[in-house]
Amino acid sequence: MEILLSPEELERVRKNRIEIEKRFQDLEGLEKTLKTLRFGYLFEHRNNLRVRLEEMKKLYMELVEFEGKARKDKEFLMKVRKELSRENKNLRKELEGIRGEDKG
Amino acid sequence: MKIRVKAKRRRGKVTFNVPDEAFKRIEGLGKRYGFRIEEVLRIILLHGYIDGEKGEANFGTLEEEISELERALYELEGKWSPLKFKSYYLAMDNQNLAIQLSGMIAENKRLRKMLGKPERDFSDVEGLIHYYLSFKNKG
Repeated sequence: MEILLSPEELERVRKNRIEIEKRFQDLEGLEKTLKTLRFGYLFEHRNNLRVRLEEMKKLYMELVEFEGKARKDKEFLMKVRKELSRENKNLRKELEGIRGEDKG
Repeated sequence: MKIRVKAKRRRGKVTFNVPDEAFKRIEGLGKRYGFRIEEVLRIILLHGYIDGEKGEANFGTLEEEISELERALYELEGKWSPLKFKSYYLAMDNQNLAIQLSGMIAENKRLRKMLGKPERDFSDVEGLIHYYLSFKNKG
């Protein structure tokens, strides 16, 4: 099996050769190391997920609130449009009546 | 198993003779803790060992919590997209209504003035008109 490293890393391996050979024999030490690294990864991943979920919940609640407001606003704006349309129509008629009287 | 360590574009190498049985165990440990064999070898060659004394029980709890959090996120993301879509189109409807209403309010003011009638108070509607006319994407 071949492992490719940078020239600096290869130099470090050369210098620490004896210690590395001991590491290849210390499988208990390797297992503790892998376990610690895995635990660290899982711990960080869990914390990131917690933060992301909290942010998503907050944004979702804002969106729910916005949707509710937009729905109510739509009903209100439609009601005002209907009522204003009727009022403007009556005002136009009233104005036409006055203009008709003036002409007559 | 012979492990040859080389550098890119550099002559020379370092070879380690690892008994096959030990190499298999190294591979097995890597698999058990989610590391590729290349990653395990880099740890052995370059980083050395650390000892954090983490119990198996903690792993189980963490993994359970992670899958629970991932499930909750997945569910929330599933609800998020349709709601965003719906909200956006509701806001667009309101923007169109705001455009129509601002024209109608202007007409109402003009007609009332011509008829000598007092102006109507549209402050609540005008607030909404302003809000939706300046709406971009609140989602």
